[in-house]
Amino acid sequence: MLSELNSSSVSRSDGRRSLPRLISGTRGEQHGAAENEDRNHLGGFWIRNFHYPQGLPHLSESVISSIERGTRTAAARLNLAETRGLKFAWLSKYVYVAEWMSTDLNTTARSPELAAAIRSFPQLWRETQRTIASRLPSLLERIALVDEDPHSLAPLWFEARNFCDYVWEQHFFLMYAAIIPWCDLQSLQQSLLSELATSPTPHDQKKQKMPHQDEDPEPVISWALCAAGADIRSPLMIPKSPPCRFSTGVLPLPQGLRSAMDGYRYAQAARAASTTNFPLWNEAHTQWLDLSGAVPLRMITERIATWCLSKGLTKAHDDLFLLWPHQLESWLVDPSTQPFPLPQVGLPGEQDSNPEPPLTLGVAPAITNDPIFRDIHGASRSKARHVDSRPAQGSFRVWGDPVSPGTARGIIVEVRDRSDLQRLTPNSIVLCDALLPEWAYELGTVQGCLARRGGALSHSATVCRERKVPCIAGLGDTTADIREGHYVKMSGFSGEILLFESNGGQHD
Amino acid sequence: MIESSTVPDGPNLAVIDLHDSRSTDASMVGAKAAQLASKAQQGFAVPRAVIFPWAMIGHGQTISHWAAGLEFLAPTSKSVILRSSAASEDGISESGAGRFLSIITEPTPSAIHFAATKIIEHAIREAEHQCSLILQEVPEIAWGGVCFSRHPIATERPILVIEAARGSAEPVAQGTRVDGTAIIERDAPWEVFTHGDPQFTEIIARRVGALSVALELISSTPQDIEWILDTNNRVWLIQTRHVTGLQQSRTEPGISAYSIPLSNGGFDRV
Repeated sequence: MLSELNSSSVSRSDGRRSLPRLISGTRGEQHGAAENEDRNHLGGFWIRNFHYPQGLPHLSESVISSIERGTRTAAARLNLAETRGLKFAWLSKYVYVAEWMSTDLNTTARSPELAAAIRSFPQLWRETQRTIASRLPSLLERIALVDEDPHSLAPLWFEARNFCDYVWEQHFFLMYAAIIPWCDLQSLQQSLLSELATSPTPHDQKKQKMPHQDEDPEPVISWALCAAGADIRSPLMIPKSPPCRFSTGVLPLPQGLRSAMDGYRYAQAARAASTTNFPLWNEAHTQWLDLSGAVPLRMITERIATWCLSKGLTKAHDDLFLLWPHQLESWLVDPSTQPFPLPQVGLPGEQDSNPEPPLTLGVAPAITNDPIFRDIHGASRSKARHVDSRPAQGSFRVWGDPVSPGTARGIIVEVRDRSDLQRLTPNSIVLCDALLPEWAYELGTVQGCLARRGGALSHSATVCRERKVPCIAGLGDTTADIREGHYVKMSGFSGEILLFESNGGQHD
Repeated sequence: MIESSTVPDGPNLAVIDLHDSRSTDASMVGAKAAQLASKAQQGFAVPRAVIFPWAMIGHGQTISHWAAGLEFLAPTSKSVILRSSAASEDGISESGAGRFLSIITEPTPSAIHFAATKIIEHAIREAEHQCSLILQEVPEIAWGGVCFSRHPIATERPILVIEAARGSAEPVAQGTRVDGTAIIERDAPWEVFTHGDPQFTEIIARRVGALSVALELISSTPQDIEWILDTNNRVWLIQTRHVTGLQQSRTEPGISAYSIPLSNGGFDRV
């Protein structure tokens, strides 16, 4: 199936690859009645606002305000997940999403209503895990794959966990747990059931260490990470987790409930406005993952949805799927339960008549075509770093890597060891093999520095920037023609050097 | 060893664990150690370390002094690194980069004594008498390097830059070798461009980049981090400080600065 998917990846004219197209043609041609039934069965594995047993609207204003305050603080520390979020959205075809929130002790104390909701969460989540696991066999033929090894991304997400731990210790936060089964749902199921049945949850273990907290959402994080950790062999891996072929991620919700609500309203609108199916996203086109709470994910959702709408690619009432917490339990019992209706509201971003498709659908362009890399570091150093034809008699140009900005002119003094530093004058421009850290403070007194090796992040380059001494490094062999006494003009902005073999005063 | 009468806060101050609350007090341990401790306590992956605060370091330190720290650290790695954490290092505007020594050595009291003596003597030559020492485990390193969460030259663009070297971060910091480079455009979605050794992959770059951005978000200023990727594929934070030198640069009249991008060199304008 994977090879079929990969081979059917859609190439676009701009060179970026689209997501693999699972099934071409119309829905009716590709799916029999049984499949449609199965599809219906699967519909709604997107679980949103899961942990709010009473539903978000039932929370008081003060609670919501408290949540938002805490979330803003946490969000500032959690924005690193942006990239992961995007990647996540790009990769996710079938995603089980649970969103939960929690709070630290203080917030819990301030918000008994919220605390009650949180206390009920772990148990609810555990039950949901079991329910999801029990349904997995029916998903075995519904696996959507992207042409990237998911395990290569697991470490990225896993890294977020470390970070989340910190936030968990100190701040209220709101985040997503995304459990993404990729290749082998059978393993997923087995692992899941095994985990649930045999392992004491990290939550149970942690509870003893945190007696002040009645409940915490650790099971969700840990459960998710069990999966991720299985393959990445991190010290943070939970030892009892069995090897399994799927990955998980924990993603934060950077802008809190306001975004979630905006996203919710958007999802409602987009769903109401959708008219055709999504040919690029999944074969069933019956679900649209509403990741609207997390800003990066919401952005993706919006951009893709808007794009699909503008292209007339969306259709039908079920392109967007939303599930509120109070609907969850009944839905889990009876998947035919419709988590709708959704009211008609205005569609944000309607004025953008022709938005670009999300960049995350593509692959990075080749280095050599990228102006950023070419401009700053030289996509092809061997090409960029060369001696130019002589612009004027007795002069020539050399390029290197700019490592300290500024412009300068002066006389070359070649420095081979510390004793040469004594020959430096305020008009000197140092030429050396490498800007050794122990020279850094002497180099701070000269007009500029040129080095054959090294980069912008070396200690000496840092000191040059602090001292406002223009510096160019990575010159390599191009300095062969540079001699002590040459007059030099240099730009630490561009990495270009203009050398004059005679005294520079005549060239000003 | 250390006389308790010289210890401001009892004998335990002779060695401070990275997770001890006192270890984040820059006035006691120096900004570098304080930053590292703070990040370790915040949950970042920092190799285990202990700090010898400068109040406890002077002339004539005996091997047993360092042995106590070594015993406290109980390193499992084959080597340890002894780093300076001086009062004049890692400031807001002056990093003191490369001014003081860091020495990788065997985890034995005599080797650490030798290295510590060298670092302290060097610091004294640099007129720095308040120099704490960080004794830290060194994991087996696959890649190491430096990452700036903001490009130090192209400051107007949201770019982070990573330089990497095989086996150690030192060549990058010393400016002697760079095996791989990555530029990440931080505008979402991230675009990663790697160059050099193909083993320095986009995945590694993203992980290191994410770490630096996380640190930037916490610190509210661009961060200059030293990182390593160990052979178990884990990214460790070795050091973090503010990116310095982002202020206006010096320019000479008559020489065009022609800011980045400079794809065609722009040299004709010189």
